[in-house]
Amino acid sequence: MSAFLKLAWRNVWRNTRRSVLTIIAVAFGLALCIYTYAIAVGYHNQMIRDAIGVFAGHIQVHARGWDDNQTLEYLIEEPDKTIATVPVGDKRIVGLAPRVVTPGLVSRKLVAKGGGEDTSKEENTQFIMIVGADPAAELKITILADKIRRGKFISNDDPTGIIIGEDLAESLGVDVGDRVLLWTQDYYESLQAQFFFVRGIYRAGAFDLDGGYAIAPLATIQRFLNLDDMLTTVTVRLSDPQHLEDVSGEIDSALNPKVYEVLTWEEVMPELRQYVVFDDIGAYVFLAILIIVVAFGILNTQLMAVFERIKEFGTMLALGARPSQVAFTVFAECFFMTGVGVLIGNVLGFIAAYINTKVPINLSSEADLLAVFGIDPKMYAAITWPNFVICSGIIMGLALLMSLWPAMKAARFRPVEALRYV
Amino acid sequence: MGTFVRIAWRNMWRNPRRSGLVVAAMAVGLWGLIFSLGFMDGMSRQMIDNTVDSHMGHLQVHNADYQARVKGFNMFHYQLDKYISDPGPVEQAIDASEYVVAWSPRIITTGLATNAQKAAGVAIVGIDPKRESEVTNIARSLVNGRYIEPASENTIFIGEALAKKLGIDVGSKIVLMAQDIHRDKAMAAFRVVGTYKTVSSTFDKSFVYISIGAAQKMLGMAELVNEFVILVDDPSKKLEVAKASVAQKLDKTKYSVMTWREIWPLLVRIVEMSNIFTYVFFILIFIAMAFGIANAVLMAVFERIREFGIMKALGAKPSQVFLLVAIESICLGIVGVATGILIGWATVYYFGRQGVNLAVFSAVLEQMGLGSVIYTSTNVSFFIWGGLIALVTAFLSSLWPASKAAKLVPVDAIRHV
Repeated sequence: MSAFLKLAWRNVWRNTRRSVLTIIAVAFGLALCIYTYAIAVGYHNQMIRDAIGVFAGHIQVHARGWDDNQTLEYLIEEPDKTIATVPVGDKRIVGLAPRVVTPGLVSRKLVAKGGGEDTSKEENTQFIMIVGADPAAELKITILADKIRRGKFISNDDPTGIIIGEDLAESLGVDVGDRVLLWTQDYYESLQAQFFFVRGIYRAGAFDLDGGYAIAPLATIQRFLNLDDMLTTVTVRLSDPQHLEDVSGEIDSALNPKVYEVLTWEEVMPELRQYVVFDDIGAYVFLAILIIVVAFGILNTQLMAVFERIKEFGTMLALGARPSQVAFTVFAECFFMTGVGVLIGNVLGFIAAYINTKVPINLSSEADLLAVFGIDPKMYAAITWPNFVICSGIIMGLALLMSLWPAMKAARFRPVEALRYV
Repeated sequence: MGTFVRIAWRNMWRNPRRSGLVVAAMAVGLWGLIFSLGFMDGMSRQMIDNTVDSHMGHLQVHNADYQARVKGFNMFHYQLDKYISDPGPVEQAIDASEYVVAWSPRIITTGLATNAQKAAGVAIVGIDPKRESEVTNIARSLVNGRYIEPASENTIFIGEALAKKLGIDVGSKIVLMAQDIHRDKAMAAFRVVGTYKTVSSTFDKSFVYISIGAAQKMLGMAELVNEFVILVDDPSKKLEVAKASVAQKLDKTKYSVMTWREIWPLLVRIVEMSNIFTYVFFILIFIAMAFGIANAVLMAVFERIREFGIMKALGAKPSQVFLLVAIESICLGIVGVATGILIGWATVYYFGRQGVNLAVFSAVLEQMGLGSVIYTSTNVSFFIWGGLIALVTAFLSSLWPASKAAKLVPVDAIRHV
């Protein structure tokens, strides 16, 4: 057995040029697979982390029906009892934030220097989601406060202060300190309007948050909408996403399913999960084509290696080697050759991906385009072990599959004819 | 030269198995490129077509102060107070252009739609029902009831998704609230006469249609309009000419004429970006393929060392030997490209008709303004570029083997065993 292995290894290096070319192709293809995969995992994780971290949280509790309708018809009527079902002291949970979210309109109201309304400037109305949020709780569970570009975060000391996204500020033509009018239907379905002052402008990197949200202190919004202490949403942030199923299950079982819905981020943002899968499929198609192209190269090399050695196989068989041993030799040769390529490919892929974990791919010039999908224009790679194992495994497996044909050919030569082959 | 091509072509078939594998690798790579480009391009085209067909049209005319350019994906940004105060001459200017197929005036603003229980933020569009039906596909997207009629002052046509969201049906009454031209709260009641459904439920939840007369009355706009939407004959070629022909008859200081590309530049960039990414990916695949081709050609050279020696001894110049090997590689390339283009074309043609059903991804597709079936596009430029990339790859990968063959010393080569 070991003699055949030795034979196979030596065969690899009989035609150095050919083997090296094949090894380069395998290494290049594999490195490309590993690198692409690392970038995809990296920016998908980033997307999900950002979407959860900036606003959505891991788990959201609503009154049943809120997520489909998003109106004040679906309210958490007993907020204290609902919040009590979330095991806040638990290590798995970072914290929770009570919120009121409802659709409304915002218009700009400029105040002239004299104090009266500036009637010379036009007015601008936008459709938005109005959010009432508890500043302290939000600071604990979201990173929205870090995303403030100008001004400051909302505070309970400033009940009429709101923060809005940069895109909304721009399309309204307002800046920090300006007055805007929010209007919407309240709990009793009557139209309410109230002035707020823009205290902060944020850039979350997601087009809906940046262009369609206005966030004010919870108590103000509850008063504005005549909600008392009722909420639309309780958002929970976990310390580690692996507890998602456990914690959401625990909260779910503590609440009456007829009255409440407990949703994970995947249910709150189905488009995000789907985007990741959709994008992954695109990457798989690309990688599959790449691997097939590389595999054809391996097959070609191995076939050539067999056909230029027909006499040799004849001699081996004439000397008493069994067909299975001849096949094994060819098989092992392919294994060694691909193996060297796989080793080099892993090293190259790792180096390329590692560099990108420190230095991001910078697509800042396309930031507005990427924000549509909530993609951070600075893309970092993520190095995960399955990446190396799966990519290497597929290329190795395919190479061995490809070597079956040449191996069978070699095993089926008839010694007498093969020896006479010119 | 002709002789060399013939020799190269015959050499290629001396080892059909080897050549066949190289051709197969090229065909698979090229097929992947053509399909990916066709898919990505089909997707972005549908995104554009859906937007153009349902709302944007090819050209729009506004008051010169109106900010028509869409920021990011926020379509809901309207300025009611930037109106066209004298629509008559504008209509004449549009009608006078030979490139215009149809046009429609609109009043458009944001507001709330409410019934007794629920409210939703909507874009209120006042239209001339007949003209609008010639410009956009909203009338054709009818699902229930009927489309609105011109003279009607209290009928409204809404998306099915909005009807569902508000829990109402054809025949129900809803109230629209918005700020009028004087910035006062304006309210008017309407009866839902029909519902429509486009590919995007976001769109269907947002746009409600009333007659332009009703909108003018509700918002205090008298005879004013906000915009004219225009369809152009053969927009892929004549968009800019049509724009110029409308614009030259209008006072630039009072009116602006914009193409859909200018109104929503992001859509154009999405198409460009996705094509660039696809090309970059496939150039990488072709680099991987180049090693395989180089290998096969190199083998073909090394098993024929004696032959090259004899050619040279008979007087062939090194450059001719070089050319012979290069042509052989390009012949491989041509067969690979022909095969790749053929199966690539068959695939994109088939999926261009049947569509790729991606209903499982409906949420993300909808966010991009797409339906759940993607039709691949058969753009000739993809075949040309893909074929060129493959041929260049074949040529470049023959350089090393060809120079090896060219450098052979005749005496040694003839004696080579």
